[in-house]
Amino acid sequence: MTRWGMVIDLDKCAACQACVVACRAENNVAFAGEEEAAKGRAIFWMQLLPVAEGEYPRMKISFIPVPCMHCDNPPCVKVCPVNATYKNEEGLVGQIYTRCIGCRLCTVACPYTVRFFNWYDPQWPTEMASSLNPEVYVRPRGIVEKCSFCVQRIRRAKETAKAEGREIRDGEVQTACAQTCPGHAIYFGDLDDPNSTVSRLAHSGRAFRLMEDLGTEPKVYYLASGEWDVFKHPDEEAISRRRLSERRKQL
Amino acid sequence: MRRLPQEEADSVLFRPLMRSSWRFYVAVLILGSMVAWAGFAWLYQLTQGLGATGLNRPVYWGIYITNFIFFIGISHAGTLISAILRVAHAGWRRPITRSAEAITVFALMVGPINIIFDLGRPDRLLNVFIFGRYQSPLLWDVLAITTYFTGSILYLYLPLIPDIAMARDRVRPGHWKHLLFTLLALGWRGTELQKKRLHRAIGIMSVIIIPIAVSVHTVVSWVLAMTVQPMWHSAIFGPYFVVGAIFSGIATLLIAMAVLRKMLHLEDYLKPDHFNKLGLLLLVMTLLWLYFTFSEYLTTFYGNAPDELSVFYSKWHGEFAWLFWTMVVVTFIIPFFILAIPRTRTITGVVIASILINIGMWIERYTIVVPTLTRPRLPYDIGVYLPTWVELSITLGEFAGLALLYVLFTRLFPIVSLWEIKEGEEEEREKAQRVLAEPKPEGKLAALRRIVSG
Amino acid sequence: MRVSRRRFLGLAGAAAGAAVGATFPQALLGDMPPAQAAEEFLPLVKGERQVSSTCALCDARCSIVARVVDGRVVKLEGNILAPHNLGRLCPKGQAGLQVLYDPDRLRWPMRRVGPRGSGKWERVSWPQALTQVSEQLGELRARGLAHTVVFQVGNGSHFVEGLIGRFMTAYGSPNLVHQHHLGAAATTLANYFSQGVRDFVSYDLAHDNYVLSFGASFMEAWRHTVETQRLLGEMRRGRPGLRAKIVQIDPRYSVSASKADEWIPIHPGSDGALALALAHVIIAEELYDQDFVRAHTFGFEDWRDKGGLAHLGFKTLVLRDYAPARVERLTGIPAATITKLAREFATNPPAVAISGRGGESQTNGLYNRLAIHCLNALVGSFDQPGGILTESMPPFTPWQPPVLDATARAGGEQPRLDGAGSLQLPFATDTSQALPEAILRGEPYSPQAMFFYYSNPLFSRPQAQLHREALEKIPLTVSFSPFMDETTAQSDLVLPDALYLERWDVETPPCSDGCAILGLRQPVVAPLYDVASTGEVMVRLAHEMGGTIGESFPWGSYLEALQESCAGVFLAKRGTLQFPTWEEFWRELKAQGIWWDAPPLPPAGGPKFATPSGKFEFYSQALEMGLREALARSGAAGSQGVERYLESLGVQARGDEAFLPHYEPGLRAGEEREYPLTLVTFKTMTGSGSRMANVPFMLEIYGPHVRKKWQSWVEINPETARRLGVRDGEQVWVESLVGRIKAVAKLYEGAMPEVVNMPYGFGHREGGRWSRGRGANPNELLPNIYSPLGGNSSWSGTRVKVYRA
Repeated sequence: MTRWGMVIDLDKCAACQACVVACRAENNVAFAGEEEAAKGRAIFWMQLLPVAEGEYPRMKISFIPVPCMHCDNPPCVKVCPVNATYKNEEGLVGQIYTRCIGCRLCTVACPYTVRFFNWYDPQWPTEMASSLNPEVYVRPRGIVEKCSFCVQRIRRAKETAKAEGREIRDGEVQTACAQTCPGHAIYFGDLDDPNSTVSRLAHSGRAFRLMEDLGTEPKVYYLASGEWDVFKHPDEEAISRRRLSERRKQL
Repeated sequence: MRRLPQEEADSVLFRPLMRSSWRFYVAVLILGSMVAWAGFAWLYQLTQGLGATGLNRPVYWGIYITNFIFFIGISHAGTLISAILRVAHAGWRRPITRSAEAITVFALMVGPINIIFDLGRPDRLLNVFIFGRYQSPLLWDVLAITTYFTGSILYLYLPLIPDIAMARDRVRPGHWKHLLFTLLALGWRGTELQKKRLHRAIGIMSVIIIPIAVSVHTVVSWVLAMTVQPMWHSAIFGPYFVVGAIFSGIATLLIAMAVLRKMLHLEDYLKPDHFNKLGLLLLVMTLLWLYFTFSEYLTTFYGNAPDELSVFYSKWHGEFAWLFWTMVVVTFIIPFFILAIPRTRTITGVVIASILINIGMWIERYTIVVPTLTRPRLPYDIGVYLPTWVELSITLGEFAGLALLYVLFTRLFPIVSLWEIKEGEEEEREKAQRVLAEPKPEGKLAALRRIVSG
Repeated sequence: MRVSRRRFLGLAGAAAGAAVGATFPQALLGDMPPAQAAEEFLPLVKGERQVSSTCALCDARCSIVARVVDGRVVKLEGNILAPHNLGRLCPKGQAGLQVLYDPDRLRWPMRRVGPRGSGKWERVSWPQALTQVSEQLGELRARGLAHTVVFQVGNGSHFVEGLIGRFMTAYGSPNLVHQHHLGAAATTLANYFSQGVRDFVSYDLAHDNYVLSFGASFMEAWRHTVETQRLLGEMRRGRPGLRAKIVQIDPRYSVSASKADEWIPIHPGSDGALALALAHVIIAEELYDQDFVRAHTFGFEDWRDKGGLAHLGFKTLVLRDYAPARVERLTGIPAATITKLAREFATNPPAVAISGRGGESQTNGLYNRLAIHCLNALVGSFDQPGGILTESMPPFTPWQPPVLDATARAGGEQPRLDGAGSLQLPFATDTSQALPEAILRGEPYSPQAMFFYYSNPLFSRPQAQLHREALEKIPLTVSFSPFMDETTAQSDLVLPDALYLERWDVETPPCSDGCAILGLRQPVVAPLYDVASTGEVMVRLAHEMGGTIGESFPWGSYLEALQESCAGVFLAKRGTLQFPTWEEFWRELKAQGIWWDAPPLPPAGGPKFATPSGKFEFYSQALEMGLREALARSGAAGSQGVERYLESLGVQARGDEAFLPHYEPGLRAGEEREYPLTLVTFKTMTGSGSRMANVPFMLEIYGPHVRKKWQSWVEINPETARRLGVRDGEQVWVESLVGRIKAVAKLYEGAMPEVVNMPYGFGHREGGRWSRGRGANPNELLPNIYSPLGGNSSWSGTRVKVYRA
């Protein structure tokens, strides 16, 4: 069985937010505007979260792209009173827009705060409405929405694969964020396929997931930033100095 | 033995049913327009969407949920208190049970509406029944509250039957009230069989209603506690909420009693001793509430889990500190001294304490719901929440609505359970006569005589 | 209850099949079978088109593929066939839909009917508009004033620029003024002085082990940003066992700094001093690539010229003047850190030192860049993997030279209005920032008409207000902007350009390994409104004017001109598209949207430099000779003359030092006592000049590092803010010698205590519904100072004070 998952390599992420915009364009997520955004009402199925620590000059900001974690044990699905959010057999945590009653129990239950509510009807100037993706609903006000792992793209790939009488290939399905990521930092694929890229990366020593202690079993894995260290013993210093000229010759 | 001018006293109870004073109309007008304004606010919210509120991400819930918990809380005023006192055969409960039970019913009419106010798509409310998932705490709420509501109405209604019959007999036939009372009296004539059955029914209901009432506020708390969110995900939440509910319930009952006493001239029925006794009960609840609050916060603080602490500190010295400490002062410190000192445990004192406690308990609900949401686990921006005029109007409308329902109720039904008082007097007399029949020391006899003579 | 029974039965299956997710009791709570509602999904689209084209929203010129459904563009993606962006797009590229479908786009040609700037326009037809322009231009030409026509161009399209330049030459004006030299002049000029390439160079970052970035916003607004973002991953995760170190030297903690392994805050503009101190350590500890320095550099050791005159060598200069301890105070960087960086840089080859606005956008930018570039020579990072490569171009067919009549020749010989190339600005090719003063003075002449293509000086130049004043003196102003920007609002005639998704063009995107790329831009959709590609307009205008001007445009249409250029690529029969016939080539080029050829191989026999010595020049003979030639042209000569000339050019060094990389402080506008803080302006990934100003998707994610959106901010160190009594989120005034603007204070640990930082992109006075009147434009604070030697403006050399509003 396919189990869709995502791997985000923080060592390669350039914090550019291309994923954020690509997601909004692909999934018809309207912008909120200044006032509403200031109230925290902007919807970002994928967002770039800056985590700042330290003081000048030892200051550090880490940027984490945060989509829905599509937990295997989703706290949101548990609490939904009407089955508007569900986990399907491929591990996708989906949202049925036509069923959601907007109680927001899922939004408060989600420890990642990645579920969003439509406070108003989306405001698209007529001209911009031309660019809406015809395969994705424009959600009305009053309901909850979230990252769908670009389910329309999964459906399309399935249709194509079926028409060609084959299985979906690794890397064939790309979410909008993964497809555009300039740093090639986002991978999408089948976690259950031991040979898939995501499955191999998810087993990397650098792999971790957000708030694993909560037992939500997220299917979005992160690969930690690496480190460049040159903490050498003085003896080593001398040797590497001698090696230097050798390496130059090789180059 | 001197007998009470019973007829005259009873007419005090039935007077509001027969004739309305100008004060009634003014009250209805004021409360009615507040409710109407709230209705307008809700219509506005319906046309605009929930954007009309101050809610946002991450503060997805605000004062609607606060009100929901608060009103469900004060609904414990009644049924639970009257049931417990009935089960415990506390005789002094008789004049107050009715007013307490009415609070329950009306609070249960007001409280759950908040869920509808809070819904993004109230038009899809029926989905709860079509697609309902029993694993969702929200469905537990629906189940528990509807059960409690049904039970409470029954529990209010059963002891009303003899009084309705009495009222029926006082209204001139042909009047619409006569028809109403006739229907509701279910042919009550006060036969022994009817009395026996009524007692049995009330007895069963009072036993059943207690666990239901406890379950209601427990599952209300579980809506929060079943999530993994900091300072919500707490095993103590069930009992903590129930204690808070009874606490605010008693306080609400005391306020209602004081108003009734004054407005409907029920000084003969709602006596200082009732306020004194309920005041003592309130004192116990104050201490119990403090105990729960203390346990909850100390555990959080001591555990030192960062997510929990960030919520904790938002209340301890953060932006919610003024609310938190106001809550501590008005729900505990002031009421404790008022209620603990006999000299201040007067009707006025108890009512002041009750008002403060209700303010404090509303704040308590607010500081449970909102601060947790302002501190998402991931380092997003800290949430800021300011209710808009829409939410405030609706909230005021809810309080007005509760009061309005109560006022209307007092115009239709006797707010003191007359037959139970009479029955109580009968019992007392019988008991006294039994005692009198036995040889007793003089002093005690004299005391008993005083009781018998009222 | 019917419903719960159904749910219950369904649950049994779910629990049984829930081995993957939760264990049994947990599954009871969550693992429900998918409750698929029939209406859950919309049907998939049948029959969509994928059209390849080229992005135009920044200089990286990524190749794109547009998804077109029913004549509407519904998504933009990167083109997987492109060697530079490799199927990827940045947020700006992704937001291109909101540029195309901007509701506030200009929809047709307009003529001003009220006073300038009144916003009163009437719609005119294209023939009317072209007739008006050609008549007015014709009249000027007839009056012998052809040279007084100025055409300002920005980074719109090199191809269209070529046509405009051709038009100007044929018409008879020397005044085609580019604006992209405002900031980059120091870079390209330093490349020229040191390695003989008057252009940007490519950095083969993919193979580097160590990158020293002197204020290069390599993750946000550098040259080929999308590619660099990929290379970040290459450097870190692209090679087993190897992980490059990136050091960001920058006064502010930028997003690029966050992606570096180390952030070194530095006093603004002192980058050159740091570079030389690094060189000091590298030379003193003999860590430099001695083979390379011996074989391929000039002026390292002390030397004698042909006349036997002794000259100062780079080594001597650096060892004498730039010990880390001496540079420590200048740069604010501890000597120990400098030593450590130098050792790391020299001992982890391949290594490069890159630079950007930070180090270069000062009046001392040229020398800063020269000093930084020398580090690359010290470690021999030229024409080798991980080193500096020269860019190559596709083999376009060169056009026939334009046909010139006497008027055109006479006009072309007039001095340029911006003074570029004159004795005062000997090395500048374009100095658009010098225009306002020239116009206001009326010297050397008063311009009679000014055209703007992708250029909005009223917003984007230092002291933008000067340009407004100057514009008032010009009788005719014409803007080709697709948007109502500040300059367009002050124009007499607006001829809106088609947007990049609506027109033809060819682009030559830069690439890190120097490979030649041709990016074809083709209309993804027909123009949404009555707008026309400026290239097309230029061809039609030339035809309308007739005579030699018309003859200079021997093509029937703009597309024909474009195809003629591309024919050279077809004929060269190399690269990715090689076809026997032009038709096949053109069809495939349209289908793929891109042509590219493998990067040039490293030259045999080591790196080649196009300098007078054929080597990398520490001592720039090109600089020395250029100055002498400029003097000679003007009649003055002699070494005494050079010394005085240097002084007039604002160079503080004398003698050999002036031709060697050295540090001299840049000009600072304002007294330190009155204006204690230095203003650093910066670009973010999300901003890209006026063309992206009105894009809500960008405004809503504008400054991720400080979580700012929809408004401008000023980054202040918390300690400084405390001293100033400024709290986070408060409105503050930022005031310089030439103006003051209001912005929201953002207390930021990534700001140096004596520096405040402001982003570009806000403060538009004109424009669409989202850009107009939003935030503040830091350009209004910058006095119009620039380096006479380099011609580059000073973007980070302004002192300011900050106080509560």
